[in-house]
This record gives sequence, structure tokens and C-alpha cells, in this order.
Amino acid sequence: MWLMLPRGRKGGRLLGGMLSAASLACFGALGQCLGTWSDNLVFGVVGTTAVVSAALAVTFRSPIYCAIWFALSLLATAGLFMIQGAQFLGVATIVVYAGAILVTFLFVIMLAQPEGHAFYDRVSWEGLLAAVTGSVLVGILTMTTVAVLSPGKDPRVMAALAADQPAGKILPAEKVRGARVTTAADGKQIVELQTSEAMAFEKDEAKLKALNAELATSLAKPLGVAADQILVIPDRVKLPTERNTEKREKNILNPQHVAKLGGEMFSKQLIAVEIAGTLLLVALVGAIAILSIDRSPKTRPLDSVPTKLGGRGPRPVPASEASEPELVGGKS
Amino acid sequence: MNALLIAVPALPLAGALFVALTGWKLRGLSHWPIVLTIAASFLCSLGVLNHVREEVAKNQALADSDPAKTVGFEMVAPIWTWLDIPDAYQSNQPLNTPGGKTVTTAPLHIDVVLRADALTAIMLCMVTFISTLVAIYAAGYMHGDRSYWRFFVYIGLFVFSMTMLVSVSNFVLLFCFWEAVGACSYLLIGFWYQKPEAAAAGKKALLVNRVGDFGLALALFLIWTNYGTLDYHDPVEGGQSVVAGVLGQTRLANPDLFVHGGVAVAICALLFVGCCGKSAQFPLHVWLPDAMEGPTPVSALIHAATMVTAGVYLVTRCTPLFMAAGAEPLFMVGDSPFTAQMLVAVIGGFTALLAGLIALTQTDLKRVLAYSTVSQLGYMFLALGTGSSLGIVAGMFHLFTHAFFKALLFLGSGSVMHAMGHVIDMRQFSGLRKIMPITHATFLIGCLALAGLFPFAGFWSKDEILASLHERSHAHPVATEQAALQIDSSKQASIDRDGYQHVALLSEETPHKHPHAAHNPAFDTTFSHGLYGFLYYLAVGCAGLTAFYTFRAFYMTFYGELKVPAAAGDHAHESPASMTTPLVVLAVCAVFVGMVFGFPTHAFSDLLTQTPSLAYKTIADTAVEPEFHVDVAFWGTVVALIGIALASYLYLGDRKEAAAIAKASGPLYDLSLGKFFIDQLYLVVFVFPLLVLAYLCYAVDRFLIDGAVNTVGAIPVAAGKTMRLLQNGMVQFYALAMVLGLIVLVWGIAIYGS
Amino acid sequence: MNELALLHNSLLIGALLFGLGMAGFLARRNMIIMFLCAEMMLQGIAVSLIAWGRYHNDWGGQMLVIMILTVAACEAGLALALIVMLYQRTGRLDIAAWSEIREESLPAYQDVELDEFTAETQVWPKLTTAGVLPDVDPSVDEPGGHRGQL
Repeated sequence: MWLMLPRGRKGGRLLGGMLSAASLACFGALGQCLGTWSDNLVFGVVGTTAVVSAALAVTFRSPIYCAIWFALSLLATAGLFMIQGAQFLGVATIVVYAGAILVTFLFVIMLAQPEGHAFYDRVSWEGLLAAVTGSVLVGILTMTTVAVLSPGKDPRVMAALAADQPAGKILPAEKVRGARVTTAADGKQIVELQTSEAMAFEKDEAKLKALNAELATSLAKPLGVAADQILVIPDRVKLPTERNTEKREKNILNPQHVAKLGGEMFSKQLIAVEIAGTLLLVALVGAIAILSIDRSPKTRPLDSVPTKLGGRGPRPVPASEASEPELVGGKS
Repeated sequence: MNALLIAVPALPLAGALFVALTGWKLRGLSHWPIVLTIAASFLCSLGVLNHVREEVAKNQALADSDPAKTVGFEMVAPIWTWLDIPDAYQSNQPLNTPGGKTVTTAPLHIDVVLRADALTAIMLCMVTFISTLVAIYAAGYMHGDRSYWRFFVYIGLFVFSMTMLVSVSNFVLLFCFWEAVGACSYLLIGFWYQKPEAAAAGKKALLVNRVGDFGLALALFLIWTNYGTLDYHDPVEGGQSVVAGVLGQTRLANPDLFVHGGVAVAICALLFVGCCGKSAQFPLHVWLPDAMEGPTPVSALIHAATMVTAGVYLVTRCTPLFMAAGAEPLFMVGDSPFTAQMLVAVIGGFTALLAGLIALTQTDLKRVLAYSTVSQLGYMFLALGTGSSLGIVAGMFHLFTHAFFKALLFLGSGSVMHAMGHVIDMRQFSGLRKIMPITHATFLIGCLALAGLFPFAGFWSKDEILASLHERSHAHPVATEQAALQIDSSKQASIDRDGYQHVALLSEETPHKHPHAAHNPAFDTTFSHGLYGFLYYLAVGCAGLTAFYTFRAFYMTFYGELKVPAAAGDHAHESPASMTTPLVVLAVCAVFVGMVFGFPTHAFSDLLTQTPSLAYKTIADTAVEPEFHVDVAFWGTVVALIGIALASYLYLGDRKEAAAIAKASGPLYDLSLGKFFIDQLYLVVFVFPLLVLAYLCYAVDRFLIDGAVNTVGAIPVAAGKTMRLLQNGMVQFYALAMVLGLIVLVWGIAIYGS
Repeated sequence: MNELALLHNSLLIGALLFGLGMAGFLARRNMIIMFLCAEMMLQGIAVSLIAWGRYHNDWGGQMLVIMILTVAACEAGLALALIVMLYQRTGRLDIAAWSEIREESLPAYQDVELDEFTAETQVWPKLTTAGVLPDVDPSVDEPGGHRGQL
């Protein structure tokens, strides 16, 4: 990422691109199987497009290219929305962003584009720091997601469960989504189990005791400790319950999607919609006001930033450009 | 009558406040409110005096028929209660109440009570009269000054403070106004504060007075711990005080109730330390000559006639305490005790001599007069130190007459100064009698009065002092005293066992015997007679000195060739009427007050001795039949005439001999000219070590304490300097900071949240 | 379709979009690109929200995304207006030109020295020629002559 950022010197972009691709591939490996291969393929392509174009949008020097890559990223995001079943939002995103915001971008870019590559497009501000910070944030978010949504399955525990299955019937192996073994401070082996919603151990003391007794004896050998040194804790992390598909298809995946969304919007969420509308109006007025206050560009010729980059200091604004904001103001 | 008494201090205060508030508008008219209120105050004082006289007369008539009747006369005017702390005083030593009972607790109760007796009434009249004349004089003298109104505010405040000082009836209030007059004095000495000498003189006066005031404060503490009250008077109707006043009728009627012994001596000695400061007695006299940097009316009013006599007033007021100290020795000289009153006398005499010697050679006219004032104050203390009714009356009478002629002399010198363009060095002018005839004539009268020539005021008072000293050294033959002692020896033995010296008891039994001699069997009057005899000759000598330096100054100023300093310009002239009128009035007084109130009529002494403090038996019994000692008067006059003649010989003419004598006397002359180098001595002994200490403290404060504090302050500064580097103005940097915070937050939730 | 896996993958994509946008926001100095990056962060959030909404069978996620869209539109209008105004003042889109809120005595941000400064020629997107070629002033001898008409 850092290598790909514009740094004002040659080289590194190819290397950065390759490294980025590699890391993206690693990321892809974290992905879980969605079901059918076609599902996987569609999601993989759309997701990869979104991420790659986003990376390119961030790292390209020319604002024009950035905007174009951003547009592509938006399209892919809209595709993700579609995959999630939010058709209206997917379309809305394309319309609003691609159709309005992005065009505005291009307008601004064209109106405010200095000749050639500006040096500030070729130099990034603390690129390494920014890249590291972003990476750390992504890392933490990913770790959290992975830790919560796909905890690993300790093979010893799974083997013990599978072996125990005919006798115990307390915890069928297919109902276990995750199993982790940690060592506590006092030497006890803690077995954390993540079960599906059907098991619901949290309130059933008897079930829990039975599970503890069953698993402790069968795990004593593979874990290499005495049975009383093993403590089984199921469902320490409360996962959101999975709703069944029928419910979902009646509601959020309803074929009458837009109608449902509209009903929701204008009944339950009416206030939010009103606030959004007001916000838009205020922003409209604000944008016009901002561009109206200072029409004379010569009132404050400023540039206190010393430029060492050869003659690209403050540029006297030609009088013809003074009329530019009116276009944008009209657009807003 | 009480309203009149209250009006005396209240009027000048009102005038001062009025001028203080409106002075910026009144400007050149600022003297009117002050002059009018002080004059009104004088009239009120006369009313008070008259009332006191009538009452005294009535009282005396009563006293003749009933000896147990109260002594003297006092009128008491309560105003308000300033402070009341119940049971502030807890004692294992019983306190006396007017009812004859004893109590062990007493409240600290400070009534603002004005109290007039003969002494107060005389002081009030004298103060307000002189003040009125000086205020009128100052209207001319200070004319055109930038801070004209400020001057009169101070004068009004001073008169208020001074009248309060002499009329309050509580030691704490006395101390307050003692300080108040000191503050006014400070403000007026440093009136021209832009002048470095004036500012320094003000500071010096304040600091030297602190030494004396410290002694006075200690005396007050001792009085409180021993008497359980600080009031002069006995408890008044409706007051919470229960203990008999320190100088109240109860104690005066029964002097046993006074505290005796070493404590009494300590109280007296410390009181006298305070008086030394205020009245410029050796060794605290150094501030008064420097105080002449103030405007001349101030010198006349405060530093000659009124404030500096507060010490004399206080000693007179506290006479019973001095009597109670009795013959308890301060220290022993051989077998003979050196008493507190002897201390007063010796210090007074020494100061009179010292100041007189210094005054011989000074060339600054006002300074000569200042040393003369110191010398005359010494005279007064000398008289008070005799401890006899005659001596105390003489001292107070000298205070009274001295106020007139010394104010006259100062105002005269002010007149000269005014004409000479504020030059006061006598070497720079001479022969002024032709251009300043009125000043010359009045100054001459003042000089004659000061020199003590018949029949001027000074003659009578000086003669009384000399007579009292003479009396003290001769009047009580040893044989009589011993005879008296033998009569009372049996009684004496029993009394001595309880450690008290019952002055009054004995003197009742041995009327007309000197109390000092009476109550101590071991008392050897040889020493006291010798001492007072010596002081008598010293006083006579001082009279000669006084006459000499007075006329020396007079001749140097008004005789010889006409010489006018350049500073006077070409307008050397007689002073305006507003200045000469007070001069003439004072001159008339200087001629006549001695005759009218002094020996020929006994008006002064008859009235003064009816002051409760002076009327009680112990002191009254020391009174002797007033008689005119021809030999004393003769010698006093002769010595004064010799002084005048010598001055005339040396300073009328070309003054060659004076220079020759000065040269011949060599180091002695230098000693006198250098004021015996006392200032320099103080500089080395006190000022320099204190300066070193001050710089040491400054260094500690500056580097140690400030250093610590600054270090504490530097920590946030350093932190701020570090933190401000973060404020680099880059939007992205701020965003980065936000993101870092977000990361910490998310990380914390991820680790600890589940 | 495995709902949990869908949620999982969508969250990963959302996190990536968010992180990329953030890094870009921190690193880029062109105000327009910074703004783009901010929009990208919003997209990452939107993806996550929709995924959660689907998982929970709740419309709230989509409603919030609608809100986001609205806010983004408002932001676009205002921010672009501001950018135009700031550009008029300085003639640059550099965010570093606007650092007046720094402490007074601190120096302004110093640009790093570039190793070599070659005036790169602007590379414009190549558009396929369509219609009649416009009349190009022969005196303007620049690559990409259509820029002269801007």
C-alpha cells in the first residue's frame, strides 16, 4: 500500500501492486464458503473488484483516474448490495454516486485542475504512517470478525466429540461451530465451545454438568491432563442467532423488496426520512451560501506554504476564473 | 457637655473627609474647611476647658468637706463599643473591681470613650489653638503647591488623631491614635515625596518610631496581663467591663490596688521607650531633625508643638504607674536604687545636653530649631523625672509654653524660607531684618522666650523646671526622712513581708514626706539627691546652651550684611498677611502665657493638679508650697544672659572669632557638627547588618523559593511546549490522531469486550 | 446460501474498504481525493450495515445506509463547494496550503524534497474519437490538444 502511494519517486509501484495482490489473496483465503460455487464466484469477483478498484482509487496520482477507479469501486459495492438482497440500495448507490456525486467530482476536477500533475498529487503525506495505521485498523477489524464469526475447531475436541457421539448424544459434532482450548492461569484447561442456537446451554445447568462430565473424561487423554483439570464452557461468546431462511424470505428478501422498504421507510422510519430530507435542503442552501460569500478571489491572495518544487507557488487567479463557482453553485 | 467633647475630634475629621472627597474640585480653597473646622474645634475645646474648670472648682469645694471624695475630676463620653470579648482575661491573680471585690476573669472590652480631665482639656486647647494658627499660616505658605488640598487633608487628619490621642480613655485606642499621628507625621514629612530626602526622612521617622512603638506595645501587653483591663476609667454605666480602670478612681483612691514591684518598673520603662520614640529622646532622637524635610508648617505643628509632646503627655498621664513603680530599682548603683523615674530624668537630661551641643554648630536654621525641640523635650522629661507634683506641673507647663514659642520660631523660620526661595542654610543669607521686619520682631520674641528671659513665657516654665530639680535635690533633708522611717519601722516590717511596697499607706502616715524616701528603709537619699543635684546643674548649663544657639541662629539670619541667596530671586519680601498674622498672635502668646498661667497666677498648676492622675494622694502629697526661688531664677537668667552675650559677641560682627574657635576646638567641633555621629553609628550597627540580612533573605526568596515555584510552573510549560508541536495545522494529522484513538478503542473492545 | 459466511465475507470487504479509504484520507494531499477516500470509508460502512441487516432480518441496516447516502450527498455538495472556494484562494488543491490553525510559532508543513523533478506531462484518459474532429488551433502545440479548449 505504502509502495503504491505516490511518493514522488520512481519505482515501487509494481512491487507494491504485487504485494497488495498477495495480501488480497491471503484475505480471500479467510473468506468462508457461501454455498454453491456460483455464489462464491459472483461474490468473489464483485468483492475483489470493489477492493482492488478502491486500492487503485486511493493510490493513483491523477485525480481523474482516482475518480474513475472510485466509480468502479462504487459499481462493485452496488453489486455487493445486490448480492445482499438490497436491490434498491444498489441502484440508489449507482444513481446517487455515479450519477450525481461523481459527475460533480469530475466537474470540480475539471474546473480546479492545475496544469499537469500537481506536486501534491505526486507526494503523499506520511504515506508509511497512513498505510500502517490503516493496516492495523483493518487487522483488528478482521481479527475480531474472524474470531467471532469463524472460531477454529480444535481437532482434539472435535475428535473427542465425534468419538463420544454414539454414547453421549449430548452435543452432536455438527452442531459445534467452534472449539478452542486455552490454558488458564492455574493450569486448568479451558475448553470453549461455540454451539449453534439450538443447543442453548446457558440456562440448562443439568445439561451443562453432563456435558462437562462427558467431555472431561474423553478429553483427558488427548489433552494430557487429569479429568478434573478440564473445564468446558459452551457459548461464552453469544453469537447472534441465525434466523431461518423462511422468515428472511418473507421479510428482507421479499420479492416485493422496494414496496417493503418503502413501507418500512414511511411508517417506522418516518422521522429519519424527514431528517434526511431536511438535511439535504440545508446542505443545498449551505453550498450556495458558501459559494456566494466571497466572489472576489483577489481579496485574500495567500500562500504561506513555501514551495520548494520550482515555481508552483501561488498562482494569480485570472479574472475569467472568478465566474467558475457559479457553475458549481448552480449544480448544487 | 459630652457633645462638645466629641465635637473636638469630630470636626477636623469631618473637614478632612470633606476636603479629601472634594479637594480635586476645591483646589486653592481647600484650606477653608480645615481652618474653619479646626477653629470650631478650638472653640469646643475652650468649652470643654471651661466646663472642666467649673467642675474642678465644685469638686474642690466638696473635697474640702469630704476627704474620701473622688480625686480630681473627669468627664466621660462613651461613643460606642469597638470590641467585646467575654472572659478574654483568665487569671490566677485576682483582679480588682470598683466594688472592692476581686474577680478572676475579665472581658477584653474596648469602649470608645472620650474622657476629659484637666490635662486633656489643656492639651486639647493647646493643640487646636496651635493647629488653627498653623492651618491659617499654611494657607499662605503652601499657596500654589500642586497637592495643596492633600496637605490640608493630612492636617485635618492629624488634628483629629492628636485630639483623639489625648482624649481617649483606653490604652489600645491610645496606641491606635499614637500610630495615627505617626502615620500623619510620615505622610507630611514625605509630603514632597518626589524629593528623595523627604521620602527617606519619612521612612526614617516611621522606622525609628517603630522601635519606640514596640516598647509601648510591650508595655500595653504587660498592663493587660497585670491589670486585666486597658481602660483608664472605672467601668461606666451600662458597660460590660468589671475591672477597675488602670487609672480609674478606684485605684487612685486606694493606691494599693496598683501593681507594684518589678512588673511595675518594667511597665514604666517600656512606656518610656515608647515615649522616647515619639518624643525624640536619646537614643531614638535621630528622626526628628531629618523630619524637617517636611513643609515648615508641619514642622511647627507636628514636630515642635503637638505630636512630639505626646510622649510627655503619656508619661504625665501614667504618673500613677510611675509612682507605683516607686523605689523598686531598675538596677542598683552601689547600694542605691536607680528607679524608673530616674531613668526618665537622666535620659531627658542627657538628651537636652546632647541636642543642645549639636544645635551649637548646625547651619540649617530648621535643624537648629529641631535640635532645640529635642533639647526642650529632654527638659520636659527631666522635670517629669523628678516624680514630684512640682516637677510634673513644671514639665507640662514647659510643654504648654514651648508649644507657643517653638511654633512661633518654626513659623518664623518658615517665613524666612518662604522669602528665601526654600533655602534654609543660614550661611547663604543674613541681615534679613530690614526686608522682613515682622518676622524679625516675632522671631526675636520667640528667641527670648526660648532662651528663658524674664518675663517671656520660657522664663516661667524653665524656672519651674529648675526649681523642681532644685527642690528634689535639696528639699528633703536626710534627717527628716530617717526620722519618719523610724516612726514607721514596725509597720514597715510587716508590709515588706508580702513583697509589696505600700506607698500610699506610708505616705498617709508620714504626710509631706517624699515617697521614695519613705517606704524603703535601705533607701539612701544621698544618691538621689546627688543625681538630681547634678541634673539641676546640667539643666542650668543647658539653659545657657539654649540661649547661645538660639541667638546664634537669630543673629546669623537677621543681622550682618544683607545677603540673599540666588534662589530667592529679586522678590525677597515680607511674607503675606496670612503668614504674619499667626506669627504676631503666637508672639503675643509667647510673651504672655507664662505670666498669665504661670507662677504669678498658678492658674495652670491649680487646674492641672486636679487631673485625677495627678490629684491622688501619693503625688499630691509631694506638692510643696509654691515659692519663688530667687536664686534659681537668678542663676537661670544669668546663664541665659551669658549665652546671649557670647552669641552676640561671636555672631554680631564679622564672625571671625567664631571660625577661630571652631578651628581651635577641632574634633569637638566636628563631633557637634556631625551630630555626634549617631546616625553613622546606627548605620554601622543596625542598618548595615539588616541590609545584609535583607539581601540574604532576598537571595533565598529569589533563588530558593522562587526557584521551586518556577520549577513547578515550568512543568506545565514544558508539557505545553511539547504538546503544541502536535498542533501543526495539518488536517490529516488531526485525522490521524482520531484514527489512532479509534484503533485503541476498537482494540480494547476486541480484547476485553467479549 | 450460508448466511453467516455471507456476513463474514461482507464484513471483511467492508473493513477493507474502510481501511483503504482511511489510509488514503490520511496520505493523500489532494482535497478532492481525500474527499473520495472519505466516501470510500462510507461505502465500507454501508456494506457492513447491509450485511448485518440481512443477517438479522432487519430493515434498520438499509435505512441507515439510506441515511448515509443522504449525508454523503450533502457532504459532497458542501465539501465540493468548499474545495472550489479554497482553490480560488490559493490556486491549489493542496490541503497543506491550509494549515493556519497551527500554533503560531510552528513552521508550516515542509514538503519533502523530491529526488528528481521532471515536469511530467499530464496523461489524460484516451477517448476514442467520435464524430467530426474539432478544429484545433495549429499554433497551440500541445499534446492532447483538446485541452486548449477547456
